Amino acid sequence: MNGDIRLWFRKTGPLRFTSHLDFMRYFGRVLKLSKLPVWYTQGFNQRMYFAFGQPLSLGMSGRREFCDLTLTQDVSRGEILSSLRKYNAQGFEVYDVTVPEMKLGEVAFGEYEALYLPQNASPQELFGKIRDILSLPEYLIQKKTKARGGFKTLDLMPYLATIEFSETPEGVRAHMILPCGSGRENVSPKLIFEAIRDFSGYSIFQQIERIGFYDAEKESFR
Amino acid sequence: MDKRLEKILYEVEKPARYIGGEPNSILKNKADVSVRFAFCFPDLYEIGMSHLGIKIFYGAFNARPDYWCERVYAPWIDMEEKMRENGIPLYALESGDPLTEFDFIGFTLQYELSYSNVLNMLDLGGIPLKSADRKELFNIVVAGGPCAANAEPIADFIDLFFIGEGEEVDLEVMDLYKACRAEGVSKAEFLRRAAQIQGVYVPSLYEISYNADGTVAAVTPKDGAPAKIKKRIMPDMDASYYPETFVTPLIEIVHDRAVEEVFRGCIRGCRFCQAGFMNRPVREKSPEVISAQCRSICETTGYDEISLSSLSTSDYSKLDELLDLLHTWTDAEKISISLPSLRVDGFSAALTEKIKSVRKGGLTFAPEAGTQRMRDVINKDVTEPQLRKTVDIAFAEGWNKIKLYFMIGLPTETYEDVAGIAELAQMVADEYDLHAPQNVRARGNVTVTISTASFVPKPFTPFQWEPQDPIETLKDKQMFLAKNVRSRRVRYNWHDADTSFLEAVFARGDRKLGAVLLEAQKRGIRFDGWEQCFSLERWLEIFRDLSIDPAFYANRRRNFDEVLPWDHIDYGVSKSFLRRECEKAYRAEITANCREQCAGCGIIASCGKVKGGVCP
Repeated sequence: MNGDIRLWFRKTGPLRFTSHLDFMRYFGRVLKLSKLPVWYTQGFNQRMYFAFGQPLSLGMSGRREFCDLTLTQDVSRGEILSSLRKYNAQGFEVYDVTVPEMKLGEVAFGEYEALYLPQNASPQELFGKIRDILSLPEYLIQKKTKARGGFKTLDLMPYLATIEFSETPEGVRAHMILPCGSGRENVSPKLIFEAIRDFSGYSIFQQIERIGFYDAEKESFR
Repeated sequence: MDKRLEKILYEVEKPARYIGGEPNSILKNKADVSVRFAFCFPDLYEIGMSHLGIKIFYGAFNARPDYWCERVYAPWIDMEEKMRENGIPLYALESGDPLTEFDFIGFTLQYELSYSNVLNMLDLGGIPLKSADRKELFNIVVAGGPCAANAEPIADFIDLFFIGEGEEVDLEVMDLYKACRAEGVSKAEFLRRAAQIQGVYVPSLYEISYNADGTVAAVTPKDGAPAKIKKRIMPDMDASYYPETFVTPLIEIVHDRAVEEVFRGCIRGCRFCQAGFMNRPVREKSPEVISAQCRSICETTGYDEISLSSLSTSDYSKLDELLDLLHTWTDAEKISISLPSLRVDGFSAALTEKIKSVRKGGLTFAPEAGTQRMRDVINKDVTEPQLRKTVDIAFAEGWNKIKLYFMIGLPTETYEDVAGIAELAQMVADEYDLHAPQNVRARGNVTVTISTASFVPKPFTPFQWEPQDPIETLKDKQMFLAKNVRSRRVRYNWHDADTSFLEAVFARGDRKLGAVLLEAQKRGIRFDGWEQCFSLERWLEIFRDLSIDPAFYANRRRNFDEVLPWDHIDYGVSKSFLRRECEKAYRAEITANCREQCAGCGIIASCGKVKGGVCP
């Protein structure tokens, strides 16, 4: 493989508690140690060029994350993968490398799987509260905007309505596909979690994983 | 990961401090391990992970297949609160096991203000604080590092101290422990045997008696413990253990780069500097060994910066040769080289080409005192013409921000000396107008930042008998200096005198201070090195409640004949030499550096011949 490539990786386990910025620094070291012929930026401070699709928020695992970079020489797929396995933190694994078919900017949706574990209520009670929310006409929240200190009102209901909730012995599982990506309305799964937590009044512990990306046509991101 | 722990990680700042799992961290199978060592750094992860000592010991201990060394850092106050709330004891990052499961719990004592964290970490780990309350041959609490030089204030809590360099002696003690356990002997017997190893100080084997005025009357060894505890050193730094790799943190730490120790000791003999006397003699590594060690670390960590570390790296005798050797491979690997500090006389245009020192933003030098007289007193051989020459080079190279470090409250200091600090800074600013090239001046005006710390007299220095200036005097001198700064191009920052006072109390304290530390832990005091947590008032309350006068330790001039609480510890530098140096200081007489002329400190008689040194 040569030129632009897309690395696919998992970020799970304790590693999910590293922030995006820290993770990028770590990833840079992984690349450096791999000795792959990665293209460097050509400015005064030359740096390896690589770009992540979407940051993972602190505490969220990622099962199908990607990172784009450019190789300056031909390297086989097998060599790329094995060279990236030399230096791994617990919970990090590059499991595939492909030639990008879609542009990074085409990411339009993220797919998530969350498990809500109520601490002071039963799964049935929580599931009941969720059904109550879904019966409302709208669910307005104040969402922070990029401008400093700015807020705007957002109706979460159109998003809540698309989520598949299911009761499990431990809690409530939620499968959701939410808009993300640059230049679009972003709806973080954190907003969904907070809505459920605030509406139910329960103390809830959340485990959440991002499992994939889609483009605007809901085609799996490749 | 423990479910309770996982939950609280979502609620604390920077949870990655508490998760472990970093590349190059070492996991072993508990069943295959005979001795487990919890290496505790009594400060935050970001600070502790930057510390070179832990990296050396972590590698050295873990190189032994049946020993397992793990890391423990002090949780920040938000995490501590959650841990206590949820009944989670302090645990080691590798296994997640609490301190109570370790054979050894070892602390490195880097500075006095971390003592409260040592006690708090033991408490959070569920370990009884006092050595006497830990009866079994298990959970042995040990400590080393610079503050072990006068370990008395913390002696009640520590079973044994390592004096000097620990690469060998730590392992010898672990071997002894293993043997003692197999033999089924008591903890007391283990300690008695350990005290026979050079470099081991078992405080419970020394009886301290006091005079009516509160000074030490005598230190009496018992059970065959030696009267003097001699420090250990590594005579050949080329052969001394150095880690092949570093645990690489997942979050940004203070010194996030490869660090290579280029030599131990220092040729300078600045009279205020404890490290300069305690780490004698000078022992350099050879350039080939340094280069190979750097390469190994870079190739296993992905670091792209190497810091060449020592007490004064520009004094390394083969610096040019070393830099050339490093550049034979670092350029191709896009790795830069930096020096942690620069001496005023060690700065040249040729050097700046080979190192990425501080970015063009700022350049820091430490003249330490404002007048030549004061610099002669402290034996800091920096002159005004040298500083002038150095800043001229710096300006010519494009720098326009200069930072100058000083101390106030030095012995014999007058207000004239304090004013001299402002004058020296003004000289640097004026030099910019006179000599900075036009193209540099076009980029903006010069900023000279003065930074002052308050002098803290330390054991094993020529100033170990000196009083510290009272807080009011220090504050008055700070105000006086601030008033003497007249140019807007000169800025003045000062370190809080309150923390320096507490540091001075514990630096030269005795065992009576153990009660103060115990009470401080009970009252929830910790993280004294952090402004958000430090309160001198709370400490003074404890001193008042226990009827202990802190000024007795900080502000009292000791007689040369007084028995000092640390007199039974032997760092190889003779007390008569320190006294001679102190008397020379009073006369403002300088002592030549060790490379120019031997000052007869006694170290070579004490520790024998070493490799790569300067001693005759």
